[in-house]
Order: sequence, then structure tokens, then C-alpha cells
Amino acid sequence: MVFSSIFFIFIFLPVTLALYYLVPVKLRDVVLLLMSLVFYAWGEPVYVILMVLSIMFNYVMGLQIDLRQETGNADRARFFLIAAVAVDLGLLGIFKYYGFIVENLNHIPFINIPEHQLGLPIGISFYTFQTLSYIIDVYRKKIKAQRSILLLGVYITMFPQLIAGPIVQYGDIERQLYDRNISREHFAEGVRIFIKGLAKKVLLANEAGRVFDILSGGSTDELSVLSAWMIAVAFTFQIYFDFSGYSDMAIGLGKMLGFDFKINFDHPYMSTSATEFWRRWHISLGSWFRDYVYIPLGGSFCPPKRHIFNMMVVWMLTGLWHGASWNFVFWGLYYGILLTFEKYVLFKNPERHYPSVLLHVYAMLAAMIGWVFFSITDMSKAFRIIGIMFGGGAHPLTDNAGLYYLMSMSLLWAVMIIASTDTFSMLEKKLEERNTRPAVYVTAAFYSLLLLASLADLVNDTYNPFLYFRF
Amino acid sequence: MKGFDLIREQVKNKVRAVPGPESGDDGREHEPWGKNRIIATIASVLIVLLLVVSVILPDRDFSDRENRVLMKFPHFSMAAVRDGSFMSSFETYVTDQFPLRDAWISFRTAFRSTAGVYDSNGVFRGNDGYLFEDAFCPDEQTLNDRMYVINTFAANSGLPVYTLIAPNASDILTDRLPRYAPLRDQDEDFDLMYSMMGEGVTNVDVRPALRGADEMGTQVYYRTDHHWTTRGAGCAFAQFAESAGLNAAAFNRTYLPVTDSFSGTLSAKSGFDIKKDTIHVITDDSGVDYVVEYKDEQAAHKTACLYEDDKLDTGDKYAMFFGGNHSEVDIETTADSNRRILVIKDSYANSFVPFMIPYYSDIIMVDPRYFTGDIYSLIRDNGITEVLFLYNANTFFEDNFITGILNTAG
Repeated sequence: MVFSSIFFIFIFLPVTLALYYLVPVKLRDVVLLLMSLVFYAWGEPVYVILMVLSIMFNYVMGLQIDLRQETGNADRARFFLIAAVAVDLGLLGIFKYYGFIVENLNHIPFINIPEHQLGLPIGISFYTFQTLSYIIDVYRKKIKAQRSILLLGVYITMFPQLIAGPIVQYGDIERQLYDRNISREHFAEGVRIFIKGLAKKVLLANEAGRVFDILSGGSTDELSVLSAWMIAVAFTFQIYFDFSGYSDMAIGLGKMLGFDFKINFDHPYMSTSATEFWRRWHISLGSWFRDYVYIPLGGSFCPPKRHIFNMMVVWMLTGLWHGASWNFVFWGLYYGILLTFEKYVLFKNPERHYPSVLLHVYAMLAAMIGWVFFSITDMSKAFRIIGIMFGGGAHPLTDNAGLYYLMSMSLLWAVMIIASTDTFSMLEKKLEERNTRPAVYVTAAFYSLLLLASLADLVNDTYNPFLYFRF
Repeated sequence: MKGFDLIREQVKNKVRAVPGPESGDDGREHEPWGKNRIIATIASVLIVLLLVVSVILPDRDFSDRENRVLMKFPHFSMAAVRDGSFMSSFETYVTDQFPLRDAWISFRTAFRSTAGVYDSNGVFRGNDGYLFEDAFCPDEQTLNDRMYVINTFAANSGLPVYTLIAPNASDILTDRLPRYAPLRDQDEDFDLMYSMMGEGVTNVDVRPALRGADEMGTQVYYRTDHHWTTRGAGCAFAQFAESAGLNAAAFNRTYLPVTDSFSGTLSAKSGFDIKKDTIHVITDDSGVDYVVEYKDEQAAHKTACLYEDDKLDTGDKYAMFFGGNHSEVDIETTADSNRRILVIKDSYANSFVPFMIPYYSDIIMVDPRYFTGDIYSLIRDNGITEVLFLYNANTFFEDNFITGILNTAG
């Protein structure tokens, strides 16, 4: 089930909210857990069992680790930690990476492992990372183990963030499991943020995605320079509005239920470096890798050689997390190299200043080239497209397809550019500060229009896949 | 004055500082709603209202606008739940039966048009209300196989074989295409196809005739539909007559409008609804009578009419020609001729065949997509003297059934 569907908005959400608020307060968590399981089972009627078993397993492991820590039995605590992490990562490995690993091992002579195509359980990358953060933080004594399997279940399965993030760390939400912000204003704010995310996904991401699919679908033999750039631009907008829209919807839904999730995207395309980009892009994933991989490896407080090694490990894993395919590994390493370059070369001397325009252009180009590798699974094709973008080979400067999608969508491209900056949020803030009636009405009318236009789009297409389901 | 402002500001902040959620309504009668409350109220009312309406309204069986059967409430079974088909059907059901579905789609089109997007669901909005769809890209190998089968058929049957492949509107009305529209150049595909044509096949290239007629101001394609108009079919017929040795000018034809509110497939597919089309039928002064026999297994019947005007009340108005596509239609005429033609065809032929009536004593139309019989015994039993393959290029390049029926026996 995706949020951007008529079914979710008109059936699942109203039913869930009605039950959630009509049942006695004591039963709210039961409702939330059950409805989250229904939400998951709706798309994965079989793998929901896997998820329930995973919750039970991690519940027991969390309690065990906590108990051993309390009794000072560090070895036993460590044993349970390793067992839990091994099982969680093992499941992720089997379901997400088995095919990829086998396929690559089979390239080695005399190795011939039969390939099985296992269906990827929706959201396994997201909920595995959440359970890992829980288990590891219990071991680190940052948090107490959750004694109620109901509340642990609520934390892991909560439908707003279950299948595409944000990756909520247990520590960030522990208090809210007991004490939620249930208020009309909070709920209403959630509705507004949900509409914002829905509009991003439906009105912007889908339009950009359409252009990307059309232009990148064919061969690169006759691709024009313009079309190559349009491929990069279209995907750059598609992935941003798709994913940040999804996060907005998740945050909005969280608020409707009384939860506050941290923001996941902070205008990443306004960055002046790749390093800054990753502080603004998919923040919950970046924090996770920082807290559970990068810092444990030693982070940056170690000799440069070791630090560079740490960076490469983290970024290779970040790439691999996005999908079981070499282009994602490459994309991760690409960022590892860029960030190392920025730390040790570009910004080594803090005295040295560059014109900010130049830095914006650099960061944007870096992101766009990255997205080409990310979006085109066939790496040699990705290299060809990038080559054409920068004038490689004898390709025409423009062609009809490129011109058509540039010109006919010029207004939408302009909106996407502006919506990638903080212009809209600044404007909204200004209107809010003014707090006059017209300002309030204008904002409300704008959001209502967004909702209507998005609904019209949802009625129109039954085919509406979410990009991030693969991960 | 300044102090007064300060106090007011403080009061305001104080009111705002107390969110007073669940008990909020009592104490804040004078505090007008903020944007969040207004937006959330509008959204909730809208959703509840639409939900109530959708419960009250009966489910629709069919969407005229989309020309398809809408999803009904899916059948519940454990097996369907386990494999997820129940869920996906249910989602489709809710979306298909959404209240005011057609109005929402119109709103979306209007919204996107305002934003300057000229294409919708693969349909491009050109000048003068013309809608265009892209030409199907033929697979060279498949096309080669198909032409080989037709060439072999021509050689083996010993009958004159004609091919008339009608181009798409985008290939003829080039000056009405939207600027830079990335539509396939169908002329290349025609060149490829013609190069594969064998000696025994007479090819009727109708492109120059259609282009010429268009330049003279004749509407040869519908604005809202992917078919040619009756006048377009007439142009093509004149071209065919020349190749087949018929005297197209022997009879006078009159074009009679039967509806001026035709909104065709392209309009339905895209949601663009700019201009309506007029459908014409023809009569001629030949005085030739005919009996049309539909040989579908389910609805076999005979009639003395080429048109089914009750189709004009449906969304699929083009189906008034012969009531749409049938596996086999046999037209026996009183024409003073011993020529008997087999037309292997798609729906483009439905408005074309009426032009042939005065020239043939028997016309058999076969649509390979539905035909299950043996084409060779059909030719033998009916004393067929010539064969015409009449297709729109998109169907011809895409449809594998042609190869199927020609291969059934040998």
C-alpha cells in the first residue's frame, strides 16, 4: 500500500484514525499495531509473518542483552548482541543480497551455486535498520530494553515509517511511545505536511519521472546532449520529490497519530559541497551509518589513512543499502571519494574561500552525476550518458524529445527548481509571521488546491509505483 | 501606544503559547483558526463527503469515457488474499468507482494543460484540436517474418494480393503536431516494410493521396480518435481502386453526417476534450443492394445495413460501422461483378469497406484477432478472387494474429 493512493487516503487512513481515536486510550497501541500489520500485510501477505517473527526475536534479544548488562555479564550481553545483529543482517542479506552475491560468485570458475529469486520483503532495509538501532542502543546502555512487546511492535511496524523511512532510532521516539502529543493543532499540522508530501510526490516527482523514463528508456546511440542533461535533471528532481515527499507524508501521518519524527530532508540541492549534501539528504540514513558504522570504526579521529578507509567502508555500505547491484556500490564509492577529496583537498585549508556560486554549481553537478549512476543500472550506459552530457562522441546538440520535454514542461521545471530551494518554506513562514487573515486564507487555499490536484492525479492513474520500494 | 502594542503582543503570545489541544475549543472562541486547522478541516470534510457519496452512489459497470469495464467489488477468497490479488483488485475497485471519476480526470487535464503540458497518457495535443498518438515502433525481425508470411501466401494462393497499410495521423498532418513533439517518423517504417514486400503483392501506398486531400482542406483523420474519417477512407479507396482496376468515379457518393458529438479513443485516453468530431456515412447511386451476415459464434445474424446506429448512443461511436470488429463478416451484394474479395483487416477497414460494395459481388471481412477458422478453406469455399490486407500501421506492426491465421494450414 502506498500513501499516494485513493485507497490509502479514503479507506485505510480514515478507518485507522477513527479506530485510533475512538477506542479507549489504553487500546490505542493495539489499534496502531494491528493496523500497521494490516498495512504491511496488504502489500506483503506472506512476509508479514517474517516481520512478526523478527519483532519477537528482537524483543527477546533486547531483554536478554539488558538483563546481562544489568547483572554485569558483559560477555553474555555481547553474545546476544552478536547473535541478534547476525540474525537481523542475515535476513537482510538472504532476502536482499542473496541473488546478487550468488550471481557474482558464479563468475568465479568452478563455482556454480543455483540462483533462487526471492521476493524482496517491502521495507526490509528500513525496518532492519530500526531494529538494529534498538538492539545496539540497548547494548550500549543508551536505552532500556522495551518490556512491552506491544510497544516495541508499535515502534518497528508503525505504518507511517514502516516501508520507506525515515529510519527512526528508538531513542528518539522512546518517550513518545508513552506520552504522545495528541492535540488538534498537532493533528492539523500533520494533515498539512501530508498534503505537502503528497503534492511533491504526485504533482512533481511523477511528472519528472515520466520524462526520465521516456528519455532514458532507449539506447544512447542517438541521444542528444540536451536529452542527456534532461535525463540527469529529470531524475534529480524525481528522486528528490519522490523521497522527500514520502518522508513528508510519513512525518505528517506521524503527527496525526501524535508522534514527531525528525526531518529527513533539508533542501539538499542548496548545498555547497557533497559533504553538506549528505547532511541534508536522507538525514536519518546518514545518522544511522554515522552512529552504527562510521563512529564505531573510529570516525575521523584517527590517522588519515584509517579515516579514508572508514569513509570508503561507510560509503560502500551506504551504496549497497540502496540496492543489490554494482551501480549502487559504485555510487556509494563515488561519494566516498568525493567526500574524501573535499576533506583533504578542496576544503583542507579553512582560510581558502571559493565563490559560493561556484560551490553551488559544483555540488549540484556532483549530485546530478551521482544520480545518473544511481538511476541507470547498466553502468556502461551511465558512463555513456555522462560522456554525452560533457560533449563526448559525435552527438547532436539537441533533438525533438529533449526540446519537447524542456519546453512543454518549462513551467513545471521552474516550479521544481524553486521547490528545491527554501523559497516556498520562507514564503510560508513570512505569511505565518504576518498572521493576517488573508495570509492564512491564501495558504489554506494553496494547500487545498494541492490536495485537489493530487487527488485528481491519483484518480487518473492506477499505476503509481513508489521508487523506494526496491530498497 | 507602544506599551499598548507590547501588551497586545504579550497577550497574543500567551494565547498562542497555550496550545490547549483537546480542551481547546472552549477558551479560544475569539482566536480564529490558523492555517493548519483550516486545511485539515477542508481535507477532512472533503474526504468524508466523498466517502459518503461513494457509499451512496451505486457502482458503475462501464466507463464510457474510458471505454472500458470498471472494476467491481473483488471476490474474496483466502487464495486471493495470500497472493495479494484481492488487495490490488480492491485498490483498483476503489479508484475506478471514485465519485465523479470523469470530472476528476477532466480537472487533471485542465490543470496540466494550464501548466503547459501538451501530452497526457501518451497522447499529444496538437493545433486545431487534433490529438495524436505515437507510432508503434516495429521490431524488424517480427516485421520481416510477417511480410515473409504474406509474400508466401501471395505466391501460394495464386490470387492477386493487395496490401493497404494506413499511416497514423501523425504521419500525415505534420503541420498540426505540437512543436518538437517526439513522435516516431513513420515514413521510415513504411520504407522498411515496403522493402520487404514480395513481387506477388501489390502495395497500395495511400500516403500521397491522404496528404493531398489534407492539403485541399479535407479532414482525413478524426481530431479525437485514432481512425481515419470516412472521407479519409474514401481517399484511400480511390487509390486502391486505381491499383485494383476499379473505376472509382463510376458512382456518385454522398456523405451524410450522423453525429457531430463524436469524442474518440484519443480523447478518452488523454482526457483532452477540445473539439468534437463529426462522423459521416456514405450512400452511392449504384443501386446495388446487399445483405450483411455476421458470423460471430455468439451473435450470428443477418441484416441489410452496414451501420448500427445504436452505437451512436455509446462512447464508442466509431463502432457504428458494422457494429465494431467481428471475426468474420460476409457481405453479399447484387453488384454486377464476378469479383469476390477477402479483406483481412483491423477497424480501419470498417469505414472503408462501404466504398467497395458496388464493385464486388461478395466481400468477406476477417479480423485475425477474433477469427478461429481456416482461411484457406474460406477462400476455396467462397470462390475468392482477390485478397486485401487493410490495416492501420500501428495494428499491422503490432498484431501477431496475421501471421497466425496465414500459418494455420498451407
